[in-house]
Parts: sequence; structure tokens; C-alpha cells
Amino acid sequence: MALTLNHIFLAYGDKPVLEDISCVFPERGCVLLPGPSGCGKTTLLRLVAGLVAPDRGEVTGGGEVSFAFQEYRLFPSLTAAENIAVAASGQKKHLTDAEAMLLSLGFTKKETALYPAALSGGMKQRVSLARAFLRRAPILLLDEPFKELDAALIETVIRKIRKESEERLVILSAHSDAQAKILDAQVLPFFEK
Amino acid sequence: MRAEKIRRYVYPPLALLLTLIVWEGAARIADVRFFFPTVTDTATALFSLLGTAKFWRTILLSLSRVLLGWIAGVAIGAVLVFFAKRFAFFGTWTRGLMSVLKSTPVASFILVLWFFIGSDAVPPFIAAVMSAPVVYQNLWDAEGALDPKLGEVTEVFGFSRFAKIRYYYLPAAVGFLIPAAVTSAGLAWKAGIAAEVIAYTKNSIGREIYEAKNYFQGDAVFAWTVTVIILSLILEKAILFLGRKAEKIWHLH
Repeated sequence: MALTLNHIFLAYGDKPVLEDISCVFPERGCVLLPGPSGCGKTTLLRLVAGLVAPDRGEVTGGGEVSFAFQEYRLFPSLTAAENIAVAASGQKKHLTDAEAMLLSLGFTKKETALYPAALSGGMKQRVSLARAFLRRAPILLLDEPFKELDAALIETVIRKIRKESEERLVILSAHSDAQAKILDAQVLPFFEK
Repeated sequence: MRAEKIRRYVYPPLALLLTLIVWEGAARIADVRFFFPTVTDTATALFSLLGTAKFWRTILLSLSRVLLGWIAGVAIGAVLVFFAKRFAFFGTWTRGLMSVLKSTPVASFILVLWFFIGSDAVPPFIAAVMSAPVVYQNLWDAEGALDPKLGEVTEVFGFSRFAKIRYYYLPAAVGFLIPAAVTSAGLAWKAGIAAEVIAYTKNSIGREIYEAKNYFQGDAVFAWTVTVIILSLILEKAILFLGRKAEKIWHLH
């Protein structure tokens, strides 16, 4: 059943964030949510993930999600590869797929064994993305996936997103719709001014 | 740097020496050696004890009793707080219970338990009763150290209960658990020895202290007391060392 948002209203205190948002998402493909910071993109992704509930309206369909959070959210007691392995299999020893995913995102083998405290912002971002890519859920949510990545890595991530969107629904947020064409993404202009 | 080294390596032995001088002087002035022996009398009694097999057996048995109770107390405190955080009524009930345990005089506990479970079982029970509230309280406060954002990751990625405990709760709790373990071990040790004295537990340090007092062997009372203090320090350092080691091995911070 397709993920559907029905007349969603959501406010943080007195500040309305989502106002009468309705949308039916495709089962596969890429959907881009462009907009400036603080406009509600992250809230919409969190709503789809079931991390917040709407004040009014309903979310139907969808199912399990995988999520690359904007603030990385890595477990400090686990290495880069272990962070991914635990999220994918619940076992930090199942590192093969996690390491392969990290290598494909520009990590060296040695770097896959580093703890988050030793990683740069861009590396943490890639671990967060790798963790989300590896979890096989029908919906993949990517909050600002290109943040802190250089041009070459953005290209790699775009290739991965395109591949993922052939098999599942990918919803991503970004500051602009600049990458919409190359991602072959449907743009939802809820937050564009 | 030099001042720091002096503070670290010279001051502690100097402080100990000063204590021993004051003790020796006070004991000589008081001149009641049966009740207040000098440092030399105590050291002589301690060295003569060190050479006996009974001394080491007694220490081993007292330590194992208290450690058994302490481990049980730490486990009980941790399990209670785990369920207390999940079930509000259970939380209210156990918090009240822990407050009562903390406020009740240890001697009352010893006497009541002695009546019901006999003298051999009193020390480990007392050690558990002393440890559980400390661990409970510290772990209760540990919730504030949990990062809710990582909590959301465990939700979204469907972490198993084991994975959640191991990778989310445990690293946050360990910073509170180690100080709780050290503090509760010290309490359990002292209360356990008190329980041995009052309950007159067989093959125990407490019983040795009690008997030495009955026979006016002040030097033996002091020698056993010094042993208790030294063991308490060793216990504290050992638990701290093991805790830090575990932290390092599991990268809990």
C-alpha cells in the first residue's frame, strides 16, 4: 500500500510546521523535498518514520523505513563499520557488508575501524548514509544527504540513490532542487518559498 | 610539575606517617593498652596474624561472603531500576522501598535478619541490602545521560532488546555504574563486617574482632581493624580498575 499523507497538520508549540499537507507517494522512485532550513522538511521525514505524530490528519501505508539522519547519530562505543553492522543485523561482528558499503563511499579499510570521535563531519555523514543504504526497508529517508560531501562523493551518493530508487521509495530533503534532474526525482514543492 | 609530584608522591606517605605518630603519642599518653594499643603493639599483632593460615582463611571467607552479597545487590539494584523505569507503579513502590532501606539502621537489619536466616547468611544479605539502593539510585539518575536521538536510531533500525541494552543503555549507564559499584562495595564491606560482629558469624573477621574484644586483646582488635581498612582500599581500587578496564575493552565511552 502506497505511503499517503492525508491533510497533515503539525505544530511545535504555537509554531505551525506542517499545514494541510497531502500527498500520495509512489512505491518506488525518488522524491525530493527542497526548501530552506527550518521549513519542516525534517519534520515531514520524521513523520513518515513514525517518530512524531501529526496533530491532525493521518499517515497511511508505507511500512518500515531506513533513515539517514541529518546529525549522523552514530553510537560512540561502536566503530564506523560496527555502527552499520549493528543497525543492519543487530550483530557488530557482521562487518563484511558494512565494510564493503563504506569502501564504496570512499573509506579505506583502516578507516572503517575508527570510532566516531575520530571521524570528520563528512566521514560521519557517509557512515550515516551507509547505515541507511544497507537496511533493506521499503522506504529510505535521507535528510540532507549531500551535506559536508565533496563533489566526487556527491556524485557517488547520487549514483547510489538512483540505484536504490529503482527498488524502493527514496525520500530526500535538500536545500534546493538542483539535483532533482540528475536524481530523476519527483519534486514536492511543499516547502519552497 | 615538581610541586605536583611532591603533592602526589610525598604528601600521602607523610600524611600516613603523621597519623601513625599522633596515634602512637595518644596511645602512650592514654596508657590503656588493652583498649587502645600503640602502633607498635598493633603492628606486632598484625605480623603475628599474617603468619597464620587461620588469618588468611578468615579473610578469604569474609571477603567471599561480602562479595557474594555485593554482586547480588548490584544485580538486584540494576534489575529493579530496569523494571521501575518501565512500570510506573513498580517504580513508585521500589523507590519508596529503597528510601526505607537507606534510612534503616544497619544494626536493626542485622538483628532482624539474624533471627530469620541465621548468622552465616546475615553478612551477604546485609551486603546486598547496602549495595542495592546505591546502584538503584545511580542507575535511576543515568536516564538523564541517555541521548534521545540515539534512542530514535534504535527505534527506526529495529534494534533487538539485547542490542538496545548493549549499545544504547549500557554505555550511558556505565558512567554511573562504576562509581555506584565502588561506593556500594565500600558500604557493603563495612556493613558486612559489622554483621559478622553482631551475628557472631563463624570463620569471620567480625567474630575475630568480637572475641579479641572479649579477651581484652586491644592489639588484636586494632590489627583486624587495620586489615579491614586495607582490604577496603584494595577492594575499591580493584573494582575501579576492573570497571575502567571493561570500559576500555568495550569502548563504552
